[in-house]
Amino acid sequence: MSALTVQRVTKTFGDFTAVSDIDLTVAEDEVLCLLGPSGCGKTTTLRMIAGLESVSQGQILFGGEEVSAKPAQHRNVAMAFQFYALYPDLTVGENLIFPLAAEGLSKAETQERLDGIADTLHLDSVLQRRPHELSEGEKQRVAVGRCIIRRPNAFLFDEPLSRLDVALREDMRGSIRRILATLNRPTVIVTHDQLEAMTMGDRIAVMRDGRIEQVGTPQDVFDHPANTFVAGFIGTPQMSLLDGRCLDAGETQVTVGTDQMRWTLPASRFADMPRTGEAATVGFRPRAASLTPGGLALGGCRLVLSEHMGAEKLLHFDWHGQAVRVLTQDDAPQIDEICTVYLGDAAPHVFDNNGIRLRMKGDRQ
Amino acid sequence: MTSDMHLPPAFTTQRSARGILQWLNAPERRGPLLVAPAILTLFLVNILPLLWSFGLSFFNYRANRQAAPRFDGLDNYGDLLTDDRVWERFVTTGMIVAGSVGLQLIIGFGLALLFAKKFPLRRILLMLVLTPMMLSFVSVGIFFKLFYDPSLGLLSWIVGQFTGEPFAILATPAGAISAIVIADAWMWSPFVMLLVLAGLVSVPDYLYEAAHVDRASGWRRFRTITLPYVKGLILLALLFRTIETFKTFDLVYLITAGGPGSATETVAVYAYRLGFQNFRTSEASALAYLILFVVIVLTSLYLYLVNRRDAEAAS
Amino acid sequence: MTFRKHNEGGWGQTLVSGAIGLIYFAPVFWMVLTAFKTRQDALAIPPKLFFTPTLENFRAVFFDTTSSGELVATDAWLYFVNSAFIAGASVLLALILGTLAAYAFSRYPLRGNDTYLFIILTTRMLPPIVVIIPIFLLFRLTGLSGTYIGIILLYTSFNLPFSIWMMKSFFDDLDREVEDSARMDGSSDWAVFRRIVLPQVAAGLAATMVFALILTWNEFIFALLLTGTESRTVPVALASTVGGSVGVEWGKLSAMITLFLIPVVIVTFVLQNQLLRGVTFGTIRR
Repeated sequence: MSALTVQRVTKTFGDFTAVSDIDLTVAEDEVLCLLGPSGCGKTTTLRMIAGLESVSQGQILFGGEEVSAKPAQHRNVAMAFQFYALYPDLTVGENLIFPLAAEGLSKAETQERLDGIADTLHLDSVLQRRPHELSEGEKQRVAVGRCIIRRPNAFLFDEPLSRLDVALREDMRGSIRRILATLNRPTVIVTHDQLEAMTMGDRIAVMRDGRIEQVGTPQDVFDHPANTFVAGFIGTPQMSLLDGRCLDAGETQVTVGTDQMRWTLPASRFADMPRTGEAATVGFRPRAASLTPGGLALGGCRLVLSEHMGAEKLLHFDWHGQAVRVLTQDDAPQIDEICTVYLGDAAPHVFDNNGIRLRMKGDRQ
Repeated sequence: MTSDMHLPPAFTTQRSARGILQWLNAPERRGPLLVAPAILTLFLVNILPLLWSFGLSFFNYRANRQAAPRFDGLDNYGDLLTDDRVWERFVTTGMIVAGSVGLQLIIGFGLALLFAKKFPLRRILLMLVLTPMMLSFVSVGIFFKLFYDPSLGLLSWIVGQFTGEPFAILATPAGAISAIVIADAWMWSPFVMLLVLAGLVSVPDYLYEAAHVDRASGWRRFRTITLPYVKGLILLALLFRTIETFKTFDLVYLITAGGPGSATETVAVYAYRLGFQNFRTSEASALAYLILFVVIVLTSLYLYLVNRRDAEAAS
Repeated sequence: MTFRKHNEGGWGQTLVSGAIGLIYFAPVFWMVLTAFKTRQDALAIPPKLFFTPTLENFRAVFFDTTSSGELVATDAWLYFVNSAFIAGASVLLALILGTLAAYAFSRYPLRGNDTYLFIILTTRMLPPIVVIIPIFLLFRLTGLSGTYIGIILLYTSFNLPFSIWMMKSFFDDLDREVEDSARMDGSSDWAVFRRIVLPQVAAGLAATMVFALILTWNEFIFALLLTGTESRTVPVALASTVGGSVGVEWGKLSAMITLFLIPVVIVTFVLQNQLLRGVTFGTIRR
């Protein structure tokens, strides 16, 4: 088996560029999650891999073989659709074995595969039913089943869990992850839910406006967001991003700050140095901040809103017109109270005037 | 690399029959291929004859004469547009359209309000009201001919009970026009009802519930909730019926045959007479194109409204 | 205290609607009653609402009695068979061509499609009088006048725009992911159409077919000018019997109309939920 490669692919619809010059490689035993807000081009990318959408420029390769010109029928790719796309006039059993017709399997083999799938996905009791008689969760399992009954070149999932309720979603997330681990085929999952991407993907590709912003392991993307968009998009609660400028990039120290605040970091930690006088953005995760004195202090934060999130509280502060979020287990101050937020000794993320992350020494790249 | 992969194999390799089949079977030709038979049929049976008669409308052709037709330019159109009889026919048609469509809107709206609620036997009763528009013009024409018959018609008998005199509605010009209007309105009010009803049932219940909670009066509920939902559909019904009624031929032909005199002769009936009784084929063609012009203007308006409605529904 | 929702009426509503419905239906009802009346009852003044029904009129439609008392089949058989055959054949043809075209219009959006769809609709919106003059000339030229082929071809072309617009509206309603999915599962486009798409629009096909059947069954003006004695349809036969009000055999005529109506009424009932889509060419789907 072989990897799936997307090479410099662009897709335009008339004047609109849906996907712009993207590169992706998915290894044969790897699950890649395409993550992004709606309209970012992730589904279009998936459909181009599937052969349901033509490629305007660039190439798609399965194990080195170029397939860009082949229609979906001839690509041998399995796909589970967002709205399941179950054949309404076929029973669940017929739906599941539908793709096998093209593989020319014997009756016995077909039956064997069907039994296997029905068993894995607990569909034995509904094989005779028609799609409209199924619950949402069952429909979803049939869609997955119809996908994994094959031995295709690649598996594609379009928002596989978006229509399930929360409990079922968690359950299926685990099941799909387990099943995917046994398949050994390049797999691409499209999702707008970062939790799904984090838990199901070996790697994540974050997309925005038809471009790939960053590709990396879930940990990598979370720890070293490549730019302010990824930083703000990945992680809940959202990272606080404070706009300022680089006041001084010296030999030993780098000072970043605003009129109200200065941040001093040892220059030795920077792999990429910021330039003095240019705009810079500093980011830190709400979990890294606290009201307990220690480390750098942001004085004059006015509490705007306090949200209970079970064991913790998310405090929203207004700091000279910029939003600062703090996740804490302590008691919340009064609304409109002026507090000081401390950043402890956690290193902040620093982004340059284009919003690109300044690499630190020790970053995994 | 990407540019030559779209070239049909038939042109790059060999021009065999198989190659041509493959060329035809290419995905980008599938749409046109499937549409072609239908378009071809329409072109041969509808559009080609139309072009022919459009050509004829500039000659002085008569279908019952052998003489070679002479090119007359715009004479036919000029004659028709300056002919008082033609304008009279347009006025007659306009009166029937205005009367009938107006009546359809009133009756149709009333019926729709009546059937917008759920009640026992609704489906069956709705049937009774919906059936007329599915009937043939011939059936309806004959029903009403019987209905209007001065000696044994139900209408004449009922009116006779009050006036004590025999009542022949078809004998006077005004009576005959109302007779046509009544028959047409009877047949097509269900159409208006169907559209208005669709609008009424599309109003989400929660809007009415919200209005009740907000203590809106019945009239305000109607003005602010009901009307916006049915406005577009009423407009469509109005236009669709105007287009259709403008073409009225069958009912007039069957009930009054254009009489008394030419009081109920619509443009369509007049064109028919010109073409098939007087055999002034070219003139009839020209008149037909004048009718077509009006209908196309109305049709474009109709499609424009449909598209706008779709766009609204999508947003 | 009970609450009644704004959209629910009780039996009172049934009573009101029932009365209005019956008044509305009266012209049809009267014709059907007349079909069961003897000649004396039919001509009675004041009109009779209660009478002893007879099937005599229905017999008279189909059988004449000769002077020797023998029953002879009338031309009415021919007219009904003609109507059914001509409508059936033309609708079948239009449905096949129309469904393929509609699928293409729905699934392969190309530049100019809207223009084609507009032209197609316009041909149906044409006033019959505009079309009939050239068609008459064309049929005279090609010898198609009075033949089955001629009228069937003509009706096919009339049913085509309707079939295309209706079927397109049904295709547009389908979930395309299902077809994409079948394609990914290795089905050819033709197999996708036959095995996945067609079964889903079966109800739409039936509705379109029945609607077109009614439109054709009812058509009058073209049949009047373009059918001959052999290919004459029921509407033409009906119209020819009401030339003047004197001497019209109302009982027999009503019987024939009643028979002519039955299929239409049944179909209207069955189609109730598709009526709106049908009468608006599929442009409004509810």
